[in-house]
Amino acid sequence: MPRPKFAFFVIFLAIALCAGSSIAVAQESPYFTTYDHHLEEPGNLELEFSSTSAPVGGTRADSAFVAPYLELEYGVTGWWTTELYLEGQGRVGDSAVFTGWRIENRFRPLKREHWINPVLYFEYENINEATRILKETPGGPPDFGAPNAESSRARAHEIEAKLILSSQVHNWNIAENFLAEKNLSRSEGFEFGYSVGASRPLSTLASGSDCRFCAENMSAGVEAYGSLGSTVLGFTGRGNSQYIAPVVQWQVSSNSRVKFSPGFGLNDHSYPFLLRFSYTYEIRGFGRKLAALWGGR
Amino acid sequence: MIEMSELKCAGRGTLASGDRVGTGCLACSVPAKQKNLFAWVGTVTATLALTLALCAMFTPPAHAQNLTYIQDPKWQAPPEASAKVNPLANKPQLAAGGKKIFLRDCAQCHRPDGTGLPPAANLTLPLVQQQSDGALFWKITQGNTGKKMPSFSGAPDAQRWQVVLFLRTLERSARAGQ
Repeated sequence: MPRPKFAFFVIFLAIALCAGSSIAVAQESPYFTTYDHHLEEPGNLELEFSSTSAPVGGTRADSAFVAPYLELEYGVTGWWTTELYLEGQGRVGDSAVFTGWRIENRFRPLKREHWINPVLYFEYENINEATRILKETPGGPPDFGAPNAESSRARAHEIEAKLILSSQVHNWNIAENFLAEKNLSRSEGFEFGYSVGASRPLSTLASGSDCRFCAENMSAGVEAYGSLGSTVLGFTGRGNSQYIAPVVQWQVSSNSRVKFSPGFGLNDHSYPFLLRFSYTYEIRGFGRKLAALWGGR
Repeated sequence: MIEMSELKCAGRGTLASGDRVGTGCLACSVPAKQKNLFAWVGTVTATLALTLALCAMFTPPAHAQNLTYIQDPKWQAPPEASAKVNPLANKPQLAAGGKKIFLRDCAQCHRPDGTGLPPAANLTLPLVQQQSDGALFWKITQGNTGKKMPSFSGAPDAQRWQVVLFLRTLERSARAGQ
C-alpha cells in the first residue's frame, strides 16, 4: 500500500515541476522575526517550511529543542496579505507535540512608497505553552523547565497587534516592528515586544546569465528582537528575553529561497543560541489559476 | 452477478465451476496482494490525474495579449521623477540582466514579450514606450497596489534601471515582429 506521505511528496513535486516556469520570487527580506512593508504580491501563495531550534537548552534546565512550522502566505490584494501558521515542537529527552496555529493579516494603509512605510498587523493565536517557534518574544521568558506533556495542556488564545515601519534607504531595507500581545485565556496583562532589522542584497547589478551562486542571489543583514515588558511584570527590562541574529538569504532558483540565521541570547532569560532555517517556495498567480480551474476569471 | 469458473479466495479455498458469486463477495474475496495492487494502481492513477490537473493549472495561458490596455489616469509619475535619467543608459549590455529580472518578476503578468495578460499593461504599446525612463523607473518602484501592480522598491535601484533598459528593447522587438 503506498504511504500517504509518498503521494503528498509526488503531488508537491508535481506542483514544483509544473509551476517552475511560471512562478517567481521577487524581493524578499532575509528576516525571520522582522516584517518589512513589502507584502505578498496579489494572487501569490508562498509556502515556507521553517524551524527554530536551540542546540543547547536554556540556562534554566530546558533541553535542546526543534520547533518546525509551516507558513502559508497569500496576497489577497496589493494592500492585504494573510497568513496561516501550523507549528510543532520536539525536545530532546521529551516528546514531540503539535503546538497550535496562528492566523495573521497585514494591511498596508498607504499605497505609495514613503520615507517610512507603515503596515498594520493583526494576529490570532491558538497555541499552547509548549510553543517554541519564537517568532516574537513579548513579555517575560517562556516557562523553560516544564515538560511538553504539561505545557502542551495549557492552551493560550492570544491576540497580537504590530506596528510595522519600514524604509528603503538606497539598497538597504530598515524595518522596525513594535508589538502588543494579550492572552485571552488568562490574566497576563498586555505584553510588549520589538524587532528591528537591516538588510541589503550583496550585489546590486544583475548579471545577464543564469547563475545560482552569484552575489546577486544573496542578501544579508542583522535583526534584533526581544521583550519590552508587560503591564503585569513591569517595564524594568529585568527578566525579558533579548536576541541578536545575523541573517542570510540565498535565492536558490526563481521560485525558491533558503534563509539561515544563528541567533544569540543577550541575557540569562534568553536561549544562549538559536538556529533558524527556512525553505520558501512561491507559487505566483495561484489565485488566478485556482479561479480559472473552477471556471472563474 | 458474475459467473466464474474458478476463483482463488484468500483463506476460503476455491470456488467451484458454476458457482454464482455476488460482486460484494468478489470484493471481499480478493487476495491481499491483489488488493495492494489495486490500491497502487488507484493511487498512481489518482496522482497522475492530479498532476495533469496541476500542470494544466500552472501552465501559462498562450492566449490574449492586452490590446485594450488603458492606463490608470491617477498613476502618473511626478515631474521630478520623470526627469530622472537612466544612469545605465550608456551600458546597453546591462539590459540582459534586466531581461533576466523581467522574466523572473514581471513576465507572469506582462508576458515574456511584454504584451501583457489583461489587466496588466502591454509594455510594447507607444502609450508605455513614450514615457520617460524616469517615469518607468518610478512606476516600477512605486507600484499601483490598487490595480495589482506591486511595488518593487525592495529590489536594488540598479536592477530597476536594468529593467527599464530591457523595456526599451521590447518596443524594438515588437516593431521587428510586425
